Amino acid sequence: MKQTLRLTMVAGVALGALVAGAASAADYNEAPGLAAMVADGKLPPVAERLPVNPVVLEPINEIGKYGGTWRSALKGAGDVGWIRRTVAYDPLVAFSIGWDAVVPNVAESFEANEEGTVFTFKLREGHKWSDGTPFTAHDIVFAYDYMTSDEYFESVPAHIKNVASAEAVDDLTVRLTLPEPNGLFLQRMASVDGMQPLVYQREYCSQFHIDHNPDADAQAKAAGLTGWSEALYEACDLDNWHDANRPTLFAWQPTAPYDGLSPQVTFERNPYYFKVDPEGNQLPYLDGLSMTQTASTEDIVLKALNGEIDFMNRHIASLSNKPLFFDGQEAGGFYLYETVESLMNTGTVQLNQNSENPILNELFNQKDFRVALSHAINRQELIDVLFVGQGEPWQAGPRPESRWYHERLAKQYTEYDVEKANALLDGIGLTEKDGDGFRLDKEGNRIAFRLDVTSDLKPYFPDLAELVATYWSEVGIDVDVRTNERSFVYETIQANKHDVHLWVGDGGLGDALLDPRYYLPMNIESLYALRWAKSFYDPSSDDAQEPPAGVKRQHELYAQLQSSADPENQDALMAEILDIAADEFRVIGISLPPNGYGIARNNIGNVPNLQPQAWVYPTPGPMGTAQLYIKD
Amino acid sequence: MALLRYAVRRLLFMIATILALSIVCFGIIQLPPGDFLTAKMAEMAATGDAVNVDAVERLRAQYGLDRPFIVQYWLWVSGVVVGDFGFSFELTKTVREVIGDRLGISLAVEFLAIVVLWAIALPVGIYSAVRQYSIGDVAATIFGFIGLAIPNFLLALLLMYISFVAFGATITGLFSDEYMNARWSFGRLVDFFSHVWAPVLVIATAGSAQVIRILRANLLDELSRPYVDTARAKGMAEWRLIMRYPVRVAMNPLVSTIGWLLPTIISSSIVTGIVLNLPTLSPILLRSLLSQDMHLAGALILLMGVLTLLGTLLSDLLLAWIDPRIRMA
Repeated sequence: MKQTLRLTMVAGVALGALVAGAASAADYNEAPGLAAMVADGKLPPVAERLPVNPVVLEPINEIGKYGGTWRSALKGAGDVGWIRRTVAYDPLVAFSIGWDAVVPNVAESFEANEEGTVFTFKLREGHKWSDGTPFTAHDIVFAYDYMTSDEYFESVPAHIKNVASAEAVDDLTVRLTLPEPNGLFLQRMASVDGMQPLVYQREYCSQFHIDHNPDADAQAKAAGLTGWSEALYEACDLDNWHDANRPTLFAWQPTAPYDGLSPQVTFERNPYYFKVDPEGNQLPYLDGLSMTQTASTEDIVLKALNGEIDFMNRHIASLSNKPLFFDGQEAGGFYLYETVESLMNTGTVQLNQNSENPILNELFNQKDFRVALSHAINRQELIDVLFVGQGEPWQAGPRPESRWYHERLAKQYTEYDVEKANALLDGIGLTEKDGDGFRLDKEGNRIAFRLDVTSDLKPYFPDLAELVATYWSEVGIDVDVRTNERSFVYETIQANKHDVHLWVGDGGLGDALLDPRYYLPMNIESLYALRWAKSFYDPSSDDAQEPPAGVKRQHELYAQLQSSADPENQDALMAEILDIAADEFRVIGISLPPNGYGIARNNIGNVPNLQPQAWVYPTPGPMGTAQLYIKD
Repeated sequence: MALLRYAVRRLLFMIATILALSIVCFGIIQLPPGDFLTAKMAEMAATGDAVNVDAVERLRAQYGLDRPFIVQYWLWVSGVVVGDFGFSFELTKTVREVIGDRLGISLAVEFLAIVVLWAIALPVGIYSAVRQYSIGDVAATIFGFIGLAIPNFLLALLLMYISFVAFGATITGLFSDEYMNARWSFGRLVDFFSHVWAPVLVIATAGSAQVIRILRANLLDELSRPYVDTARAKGMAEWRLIMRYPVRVAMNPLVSTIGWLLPTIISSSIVTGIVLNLPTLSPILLRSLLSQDMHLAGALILLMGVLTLLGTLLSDLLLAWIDPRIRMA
């Protein structure tokens, strides 16, 4: 009930803004290039291209001016993430820039029923695809029909899996029915995958669909693909930017596609983009984007230093590059802006509490063992050595900026205390030692386990793992650290053959509700207790294992949270989950990651400072990149 | 005639070798744990995505990655025989398209590098043998050892750094922004040459250092032979004498390695290619190996093998042609 109330309020505020926008409809302005095309009769006038109620985007600093290209870079062929962050964040409902609310975007308004099972989205009258054809509820239904079918080619994002049916009530109203209440549905729709249902233009994409084109399968196979579904997926899905002909709703349209081969990927203004600034200027301000595809990070760093990158943080904004960029500001004509990191940890050390090795399984399941190992880590030294002194000792708990910050969970057992660690280990009966000073298990063998670490995600991981192993050897625990290729590590952990896993700490800010993997074992990435997690997300699996009482209670609470439509109730349930997480202490954290940064050229306007940096919230997307502009 | 029979016999052996090679390279690609989809899942996890395991299993079946090694190999190799090199999972293009797109540029860069390499190495090598221990020889020796000792990628990084600090220019890539996606034109050609010098210089430096050393050592051996003294005694002009006899003999070991140049079209500049962001085949080889994009990686490795074999054949034939002693033996 309250949820509905709050949502209508947000929608109401937005509608108010829209009315103001509509009042000035007569004097909409457009980019000079488009005005020339209108004059030549190649394009309808701007008022006809915009929806009746366009989104009015309040600029971060000031009204901008038209023109210019946003230059950045892509690393390798698999860097779709940067395109999704910059160009492709325009879901039905979007995160606010502060990541504290969900606001209307492509949808003019939205409402949920009281149970949180039926969600209705109202589209904007006159909203058009980039080719000028109307965007309607039928396009969304087409997308859902394909994505929820067994034929869908890729793994299905969670928010789609949860939709039982999508129907077009009329051309502008789409109704999504869920099989069970989902209090997190709107969050999911606003997340990075939220555009998924908005990229399948029915008219264009149906040529690849077997139901609309009987020859689709044969055509796909002739092109070397496995069948029509792959062809449709390749042509129309969100991750695919190698088809420059596909119409979209985004602010810019690809002109040179991202196919892994063309050295530069370019985009140009979508003349039908649905947002305006408060003065009625149609967005985006920038004419286009150009992204140079490169294989090396150093190349991007050099381009940035040389002033050839306008606004970017991906790949280059590492702690070790910071002094370089700081010194190069004046010469390169750029400055450093700050981002708020969404990760809550530089490293989560996950002892496998579902280990197939009975000895390790028993050890890892003793809380005192985990607490002892936590006390044995000299976190301040780690921070000084690896992170140039930035950050503070931190367990696997939400960040201090988070709504769900939990002091005990974040701070307990972080002090470096070898004596205490030894006492705790002695206390659980591990008093016998071998000639090298390592403790013996109950069968008289040295307590030793492996930590396979990959450097692909974070270059400091091998060093971190080595240091942790050194600290633990001082309390008589032998850890064998091996740096391995990521596929190997991934094979091992998915088969539950790992002893310890090291990863970063997702879920530090607004993503804690959607992905609390380190606060309770709940998804495939909860690698400290994968089998317990399976009993939650895939109970019918043979690998699922009944969890202990505390985790079971957490599962119940999280299930309630997922089906609750009331944010206050969600907060209360989350607090209880975190209480249990603090009591159980299953994941050992290292330190709070310091704030991140990015670089922006001095002449780029409306660059946000202190924006959250995350993937679920695909920074900088939710700022509304259409408002970036180039100053004189 | 003997040369022809020799060539035919070598060709027959080559076909057998290529077949064996194809098994080995397909095996190598399968050696690392996991497959393309595991690599992809790991990458998705790194971006914060949780992966749907069922869907991955289904994809695995669709790509045929769940079938036994021998079946996968047969499917691949029977395609290769008729010129179908399979499909690149990562780029969702046929392998032929991917290689075709990059082959021209790779050839051009490598060819230029070889020309520059020989243009530096030949005169310097000859000079430093003929004027042994002169200042010029010592300078060439120092240059040679430095060239040998500095890894290519470091040289590339140094060059990038120097041109950035001194000229404020980034020398990566092969084209400026405006020509990157353009069709070939005179302007693009000029642009290409204004960029290509850096990688060519980097690749040629290390290679020429090596050639200089080999040429110098061989030539020194020859220069003290009696036939040189005889020719000199008969009053033959010094440079004509040196170029005509000892240099020709000293070239033998170099000619026999010409064959090794062919596979370098794909492999020589891997690290240089990545550091300097060249749109050639070498970065694609590395990436396909990392992402376990097996058809693409397999095709590239096989291609390198075939080029090595072809190159060896070529240099054997060349040797037989320029040196009668080998032909007769």
